[in-house]
Order: sequence, then structure tokens, then C-alpha cells
Amino acid sequence: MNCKEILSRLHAYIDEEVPARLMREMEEHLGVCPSCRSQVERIRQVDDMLDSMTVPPLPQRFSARVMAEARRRALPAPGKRPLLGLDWMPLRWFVDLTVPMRLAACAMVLVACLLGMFMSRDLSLSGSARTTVAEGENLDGFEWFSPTPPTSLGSAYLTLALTTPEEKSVSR
Amino acid sequence: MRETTDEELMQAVAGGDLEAFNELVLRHQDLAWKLAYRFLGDAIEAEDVAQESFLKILEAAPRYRPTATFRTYFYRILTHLCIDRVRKKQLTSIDDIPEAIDPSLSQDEGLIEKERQDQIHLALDALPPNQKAAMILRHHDGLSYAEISQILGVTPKAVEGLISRAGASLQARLSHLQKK
Repeated sequence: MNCKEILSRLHAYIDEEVPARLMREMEEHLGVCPSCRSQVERIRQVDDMLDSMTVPPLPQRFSARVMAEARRRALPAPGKRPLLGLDWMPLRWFVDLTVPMRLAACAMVLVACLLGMFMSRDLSLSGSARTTVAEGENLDGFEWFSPTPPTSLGSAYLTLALTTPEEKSVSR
Repeated sequence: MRETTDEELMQAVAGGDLEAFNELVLRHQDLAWKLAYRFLGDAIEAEDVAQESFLKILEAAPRYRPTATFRTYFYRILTHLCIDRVRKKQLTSIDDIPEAIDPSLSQDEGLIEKERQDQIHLALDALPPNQKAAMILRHHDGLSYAEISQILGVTPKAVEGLISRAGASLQARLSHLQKK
């Protein structure tokens, strides 16, 4: 290692934050290089100055002031205090979510609602379009494909799905 | 009996336990105060920022996940509050740093020491905020480069670079205080 490489890593060397192999190489270099050694000494002097910085004692009643502010923030505003002193909050989990997670939750609820409306669409149909329980049992959920145009892919799939094995063998 | 860890206390705080929060404040208030004071060099500012950092962890407790130690998590909040405060106020301009102490100013050792302390604070204040943060954290609570990197949100290699550049600047600004 040359002096330039050594000098760029001297702080990490002093803090023992370089790998063991590099540490040994640096020690070897410092053993024979008075210029780099004196730089180590100068860094240590600055470190000593920083360590000697005096800090006044912690202000009195610091924790009491923090706790007073914490209690003040934890309490709801006077007009918003819950009835009977209860702080039951069923949607607390939602309040604690991050904004993207809240949006995702809202989107999921919306999709679920739309899907529910779409799937229950036929329940409100009347007359001939209404599927009876017996028909529903036979259709096994394939009623979503009917009514379909006679020559459409959906119609072909429905015919295929609803044909029993016996019927298939007869058609062959 | 095993002492409750900081991470366990934070989980209790998330459930609304203010006594657990009080315990966290008592455990960390001294180091929080020292870090804030070293960073800001002003008692009123330091107390304000230290207090705000505790209130931030109270607010963030429900979202806290113990992926890093509480210490690192807390110092990250505190350090960024300090950096924001410095950026907003621009406490000191580089031009304010005196070149050297005039020894003829006073013979009183107390005054000389105060002057020396002021010089160190001014030299630190003249550093860019992230260099200043790296250098102060390096001298705080035995933090490793890996922990400092988590606090500052940079790589350990970048921390080494920040410390090295900060060290070079401080050495140049404090050379008049160094022993020959």
C-alpha cells in the first residue's frame, strides 16, 4: 500500500473498522513511514478535542416534560372525548396503517363490493331470465355463460361442459 | 429477572402503554441530550429536538418493526431531526469561524477553555450536515460504522468517506489548537 491509500483509510484504521488483513498491512506501513505516523497522531489529537467537548447536564425535569407532552398528545381533544370514558376504536388498525396501505385497503373493499354486485346480478332478474334452483343445480355454476349467442365460443364451451359422458359416447 | 428490552417496550408503547414509553425516555434521555447538544451546540435547541425525537417514536410506535435495534432506530430519528434543524437555521456560516485564538485575550484558564470549546463547535458547525453527523456519531455511544450507516441511510463505505473528509476539514480548522 502506498501513502495515499493509507491516508484515505486512517480514520477507519484508528477505529479498527478495516478488515484484519488490511489492518496488518497498514501497521507494517506505519512502522516504516514517519509521515503517515505523524498523520495518525494529528487525527488522534482532533479526536481527543472532540471527546473533550463538554456537554451541560441534562435539563431538570426533562423526562417529566416529555411525558406531559406525550399525555397531552395521547388524549383526544376535549370536544372529541369518547362517551362514558371509553376509547373503543374498532378501526384503530386502519388509522395505524400507512397511507399507501390505507389506499390498498380501500381499493380491496371497493373491488369486493363491485364483484359482489356483479355476482348477485341474476338474483334480481325476473321472469324467464331467472334460473330456478333445479336448473342451477344442473348448471353447476355455468349459468354465467347463458344466455349466449348460439354460435359463440361461450355457447360451445357450455354445451361441452354440460354434456354427460353417456351423451358424449352416443354422439361419437 | 430479565430486563425488558427496548424493542419489547416499543411494542408495549404501540399498544398505548405510556409507562413503557416513560421507561424508554428514562433509559435514553442522557444519550439523546448529549447527541443533540453536540450536534446543535445550544441547550434550548438541543432540549427541543431531544424532546421531539421521543414524541416522534411515540407517534411512530404502531408502525415500529424491530428490524434494527431500537438504539439505531431512535438515533436515526434524532439525527435527522438535528440535520433538519441545522439546515433550516444555518446556525453558523463558514466565514464566522475565527482563524485562531488570540492568547493575549485573557489569562483566565476558564475563559481560554471556553474559547477552545467554542472553536471546536464552530469547526463542527462549518462541516456539511452529513459529515458533521457522521463525525459526531463516531464519537457517540460506541457506535460502529455499520450502525452509523443505518442511522444515516448510507453504506458503511460512504460513512468512512464522510468521516475521512470531516476529519481532514476539522484538522485544518483546528490546527492552531493542536500540539506541535
